Amino acid sequence: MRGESFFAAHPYGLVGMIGAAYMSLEAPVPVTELDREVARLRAGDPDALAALLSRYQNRLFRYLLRIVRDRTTAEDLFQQTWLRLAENIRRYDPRRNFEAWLFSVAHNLAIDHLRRIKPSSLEETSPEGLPLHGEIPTRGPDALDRALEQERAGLVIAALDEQPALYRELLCLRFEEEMKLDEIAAVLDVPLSTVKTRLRRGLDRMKESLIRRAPPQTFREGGSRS
Amino acid sequence: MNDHEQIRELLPLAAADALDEREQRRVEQHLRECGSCRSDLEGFTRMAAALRRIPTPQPPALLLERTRHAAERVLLEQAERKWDHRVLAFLLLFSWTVTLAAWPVVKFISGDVFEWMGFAQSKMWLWLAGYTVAGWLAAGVAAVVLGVRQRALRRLA
Amino acid sequence: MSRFSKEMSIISRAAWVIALLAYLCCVTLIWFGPMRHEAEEFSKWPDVGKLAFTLLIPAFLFVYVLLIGYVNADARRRKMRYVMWTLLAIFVPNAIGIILYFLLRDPLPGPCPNCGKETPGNYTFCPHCGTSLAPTCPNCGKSVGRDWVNCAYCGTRLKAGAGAPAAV
Repeated sequence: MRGESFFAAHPYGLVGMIGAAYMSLEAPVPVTELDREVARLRAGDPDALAALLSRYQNRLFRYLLRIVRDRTTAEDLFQQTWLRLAENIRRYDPRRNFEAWLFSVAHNLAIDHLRRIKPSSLEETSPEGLPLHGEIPTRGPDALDRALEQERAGLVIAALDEQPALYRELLCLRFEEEMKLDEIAAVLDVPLSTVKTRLRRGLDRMKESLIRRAPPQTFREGGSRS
Repeated sequence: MNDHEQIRELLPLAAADALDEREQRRVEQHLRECGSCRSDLEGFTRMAAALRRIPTPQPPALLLERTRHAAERVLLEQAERKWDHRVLAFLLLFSWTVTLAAWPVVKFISGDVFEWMGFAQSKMWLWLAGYTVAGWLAAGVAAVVLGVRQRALRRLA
Repeated sequence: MSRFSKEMSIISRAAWVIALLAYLCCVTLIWFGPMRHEAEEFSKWPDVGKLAFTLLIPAFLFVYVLLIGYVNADARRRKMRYVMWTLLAIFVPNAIGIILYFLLRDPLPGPCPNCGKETPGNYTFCPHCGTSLAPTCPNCGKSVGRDWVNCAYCGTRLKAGAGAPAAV
């Protein structure tokens, strides 16, 4: 106990104990395995932390990597997210969705990071040299199909990486995490309508990016689809 | 057609299963009649499926170890602090009780024990008064020590 | 509280013995003193009250001695100057010495995450292998807070993840 005020700690201890008792009365009864782990984490159990870490390690890392696109930064943010989680676990309201909270902590850290290094990279700015919206160069009617067939060549990933950060993270939450729209709204702290608008715009842009990257129409594969 | 444009806007959301019931019905009704929208929707649906199939990057094992240790240390620090507060609360209570109870207790006991041990009454009260003054002095010194340490800590780290 | 019993277990047996002796001494003194001689204050009390008084008041002394024993053992395991702290705990009145100890004590020594040797808790770098044990500024080397964005001493911007001690 460094530097604690001599007389201030006594009422604090009393209030703290009353507060803890109150909070334990308010918490919902744990139902799923996840609920149990979260409850144990709230009590300060380090094993619960390890369990939650292994449960979410891949998903959280993938999400952060989508946003910042750089492995080293994603690793640092990953560590920071969990530290922030451990520090604030006492302030976590158990009635909230834990996953939404976890991802929103990661979201805030990642967006803060991007804002610090390049504030313009977040939103509507298009990568240099490419049209913003509405001009789809003519590549033939099958362009999108051809692009999608090249999945293995990583066209989809490349097109995804080309989108601004806010769209990237939304597409990741919807399709890789398969989160419901209201969960996404909670993670990003925006209204549901914004989520839908951004989702629509994100998919439109993905389509344009894929068409632009589509291999030129040279020959048709056998067994073409229409 | 205005309606057609509106439906085209909804198609990406349809592929993402992001429509509410009313919108879903409107889209389905329109799709029965409009072939171009059907193929557009199919394109979006395939794109959505491709997005779901992107391979998941794996975090390095070293990162997991490091993170786990760091986060566990945070939890342990918090537990330490909570414990420290409880101990401090108890000690304050103890200290105040001892301070406040010293006089009445000594008054109760003094009548006899000290006669029995040969102490003069007045001298005993003097000793107790001295003890109380020493107590308050000690509190003052403690406050000063703490203040000095706080300042030193703040300057170093 | 298992934490409580864990902490209690470090008190040396000698301290327990002294505490018990002091308690018994005090009880005896009170019992054969004012109680026996029926001092006027006590004559009005019921018997239960007198017994409670005799047993309860020396309990404070018992707790006091145990606390001193705890300070002694705890200061020793934290590699502090335990003789000085024990004396402070004994002689500074009203348990203020004990309170001072709890406020000023060093963190527990723990193993270095890299080389495993025990190091005192408030070290920033391991003296054996040099790994950083606490977050530090990459420029001036001072200890920084976990979620700082800039170093408070030299102003360098800290990258994300400066908030955790780096593995070497």
